Amino acid sequence: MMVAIVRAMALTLMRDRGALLMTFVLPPVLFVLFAAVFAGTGGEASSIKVAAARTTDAPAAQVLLDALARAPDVHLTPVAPEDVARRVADGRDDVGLIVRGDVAAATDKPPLVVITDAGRNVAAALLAARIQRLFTEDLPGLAMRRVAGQIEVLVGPFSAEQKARLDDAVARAPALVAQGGADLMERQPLASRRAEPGVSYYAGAIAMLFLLFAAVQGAASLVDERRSGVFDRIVMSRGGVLALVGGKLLFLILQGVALAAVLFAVAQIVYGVHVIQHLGTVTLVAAAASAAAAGVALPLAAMARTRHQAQTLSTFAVLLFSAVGGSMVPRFLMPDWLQKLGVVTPTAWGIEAFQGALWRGDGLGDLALSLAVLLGYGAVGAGLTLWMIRRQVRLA
Amino acid sequence: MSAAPRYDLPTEDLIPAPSLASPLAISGLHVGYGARAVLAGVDLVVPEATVTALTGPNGAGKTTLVRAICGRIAPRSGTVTVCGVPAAEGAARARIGLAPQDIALYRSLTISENLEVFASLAGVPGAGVPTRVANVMVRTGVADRRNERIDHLSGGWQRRANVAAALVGDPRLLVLDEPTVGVDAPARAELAALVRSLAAEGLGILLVTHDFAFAEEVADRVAILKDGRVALEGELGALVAAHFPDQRRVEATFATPPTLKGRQVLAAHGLHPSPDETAFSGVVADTPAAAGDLIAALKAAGLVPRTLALQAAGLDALYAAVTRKPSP
Repeated sequence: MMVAIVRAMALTLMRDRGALLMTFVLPPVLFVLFAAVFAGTGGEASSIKVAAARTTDAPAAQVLLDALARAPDVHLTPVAPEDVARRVADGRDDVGLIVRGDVAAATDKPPLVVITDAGRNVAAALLAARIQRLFTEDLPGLAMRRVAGQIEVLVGPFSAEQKARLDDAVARAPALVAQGGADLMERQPLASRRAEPGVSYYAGAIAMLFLLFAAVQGAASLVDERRSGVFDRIVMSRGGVLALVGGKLLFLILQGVALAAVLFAVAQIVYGVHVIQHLGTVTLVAAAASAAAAGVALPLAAMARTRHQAQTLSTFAVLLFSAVGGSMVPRFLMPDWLQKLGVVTPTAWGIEAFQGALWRGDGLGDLALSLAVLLGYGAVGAGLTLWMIRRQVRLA
Repeated sequence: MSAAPRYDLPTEDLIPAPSLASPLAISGLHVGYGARAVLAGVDLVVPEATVTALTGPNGAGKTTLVRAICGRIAPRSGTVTVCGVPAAEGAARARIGLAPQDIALYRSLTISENLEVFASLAGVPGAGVPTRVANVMVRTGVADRRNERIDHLSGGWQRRANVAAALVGDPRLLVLDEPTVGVDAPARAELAALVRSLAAEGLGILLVTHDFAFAEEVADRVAILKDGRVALEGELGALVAAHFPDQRRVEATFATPPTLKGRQVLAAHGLHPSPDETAFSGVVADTPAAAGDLIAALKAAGLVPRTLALQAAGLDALYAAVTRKPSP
């Protein structure tokens, strides 16, 4: 008897192409993508983008930069020293590096300056680790010469006089360390930045995640309306399909702006994120991001035959976009191919726009591209929904 | 005596001449999905101020016909006009009020909120919406429940609200799809009164139903759809008189299906079985002798019916006669 139930369920599953896809195709696809995002199994290491310059003619400076350029996990762009901070500030590069002293000699201050955006502190840490590794593994000669130079400066030959000098040097060592003279590099945060970059990043990232979830939930009402007959009544009305799709798009935008308002109010009150100071641009970004989320959710709802199907499809899309687009892990930590793939997701553009408005204080001109892409997602999604529903109802 | 159904009545004679003003006029309508023809030459007119009941077996094409009337399916040939306007045009849809079989309303909204939404969608100007909604609520008798959510209303009130929503666009043709599903007897009577009052206001009403008693109560005309064609159409009394002159409908029910011999006796008297073979119906001559012959035959065969009813023939008899006839 139980076999009969098994047979009935197996036949039902085999004849439901949607369920087959959800059961056997999507899980491995998600596994591959999530493994690439979270475990770095994407076939190549994630690389950090570094804007690099040198202000010294010391030969070792160029040796260091050449070695960094060859490192597989660093994408090094040589630029003029004055451009380093700007490129980090506008997000073209994750971190900046200025070689200002001879890394193979003793110096009074650290020969390397790492320009960091506090929103990408992880990138600075990765670069620091990479440089340390270069010194210990790839360029041991540089490290030895630097240590020898430092020993020469600090102790010199070990004669009586040297002993006296060593005592003197030992006495001076704490002061030298305190001044940073013993360090290899010094970090200089961008002057205009505040202290809660991670919160700013995740405020945008979580906003995008939940804008998508809220949009798919709202758009799923289309399935309910189709089942109840409300859909028939609306498409028969003078407003028709255009009113149906346009009304839903508008509602999802308003709902998204309200959701973002609540989220960012918490970010401002609890974490001091600058929201009120950039209220106009943040509101515009929230509206555009909500339109993009609606542009994803509406076609999925129009495509689905049941609410269950709509929710499964939507959950898959939201998880995929959120993982690849940077809602869960910053994209610069992902492999290059995933970073490139992320560009096609509205999540990546939404996070970038929120980050620009909240953290960098970008104006409309700076945000224009992101806003245009987000609004484009909304327009294309709404157009696609309109086309699908017109085909479904076959209105003349 | 066996009553041979008469299907050769020229139905064209019973169809009112279509006019441009008819709320609905369908002529030679053919509709199909792929290679399958669903409607194969439907002719039907719904005049003003009348209720036309459309019935037929499952798969006869009723749903497809309603879709064609609503302009939601392109005919292969033939015409559908609403108040003289081809159904494919938006202006035709604006003249149709559709009350689908399901309660096509936002369940968490009140009656008045629903009506306001659908009035706006129907193109009623903002300032006119309250007046239009109030008017419709009075006409349909839902004004007292205006502030109650749909999901808090009984089935009967939900049906009324469903009809009210179909009226907010001020249609000339009202399409009611199975309006009595899930409605109890008192609510059904109120619904019948509502449908009659709307017809009296001048609306042409197409009532798609399997509820023969409701159709007999409210319909001026009936149309029976079979195999994608209107097999019979006209005024109910005239059709019954024409098909069953001096005949009465008889129905016998049994606790268990009769034996083969019993079924043969029933068939010999023109009584056809229900799907579960516990009810047999047909027509007999309207004479005491015919009824006596039937009762005697049942006794002789050892058949003891639980009930045996003899009544005037109606829509169910017409329906049975039409749908039992083998398709050409």
